[in-house]
Amino acid sequence: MPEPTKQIYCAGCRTETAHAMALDKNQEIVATCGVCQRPVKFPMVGSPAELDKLIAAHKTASAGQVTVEMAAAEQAVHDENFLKVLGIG
Amino acid sequence: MAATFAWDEDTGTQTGAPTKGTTRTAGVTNVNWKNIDDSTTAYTAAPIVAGNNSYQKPQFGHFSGTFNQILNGLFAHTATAFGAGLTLKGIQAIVSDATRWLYTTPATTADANLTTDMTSAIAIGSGIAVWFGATGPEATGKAASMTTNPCYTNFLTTQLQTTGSAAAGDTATVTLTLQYDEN
Repeated sequence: MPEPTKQIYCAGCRTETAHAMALDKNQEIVATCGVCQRPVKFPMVGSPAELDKLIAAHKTASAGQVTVEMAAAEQAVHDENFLKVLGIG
Repeated sequence: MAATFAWDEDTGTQTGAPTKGTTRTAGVTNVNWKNIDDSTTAYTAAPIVAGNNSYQKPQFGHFSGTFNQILNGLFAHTATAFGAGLTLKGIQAIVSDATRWLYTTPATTADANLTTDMTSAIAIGSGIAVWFGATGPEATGKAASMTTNPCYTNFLTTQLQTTGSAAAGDTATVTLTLQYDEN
């Protein structure tokens, strides 16, 4: 049987990706991003609808984060523009 | 003069209404995720077995001293990456009393109410909103700005969740930041 997958928001990739779904030794649901291999866990629930609700809450809470690398890149652009305005560089 | 800030932590069986921990420890200096629910045991004596989760760490900010107003709270993991197989989960942004994390007796099961993936270090500017209020982190009446002294943030609870691929030994030392303005 092929490994089940679900589209879940990956906070590492910052987009929805296919996650491999597995049950761990504690009977918790482990979803692993197929792109970056980052795991996210969900407690076992009673229905597909309940799992979808947890997945949606995870996306709502986690989407839109600006990583330190992204913030540094944005600041570098601002710094370059500032120097240009001053006629430097 | 300025506000005096401290990190405090609740542990133990839930008690009261709204619920809080049986034990409240003031002035904690770390958030070592471990396989025991207390503020005292060294994490080396209560390591998390790969594939298991830590107990939740219901920590919160406590403001006292001299101030007029505390506002614009933000909370985030701001420095240093975790290794493979590790996921840090935290509270959602607070937008009302109903969205604050409610204290439950800590356990190692994955906490469904910790919905923010805090694994990546992010800029504090995109951290989750934190509110403030009187009495304690568990109390209602939280708001984005507060003049009551002392005042407390909502619970800033985190849990380290691991898979079998997590490496043995210590995790990297990461930084969690609470940023606020003070008038």
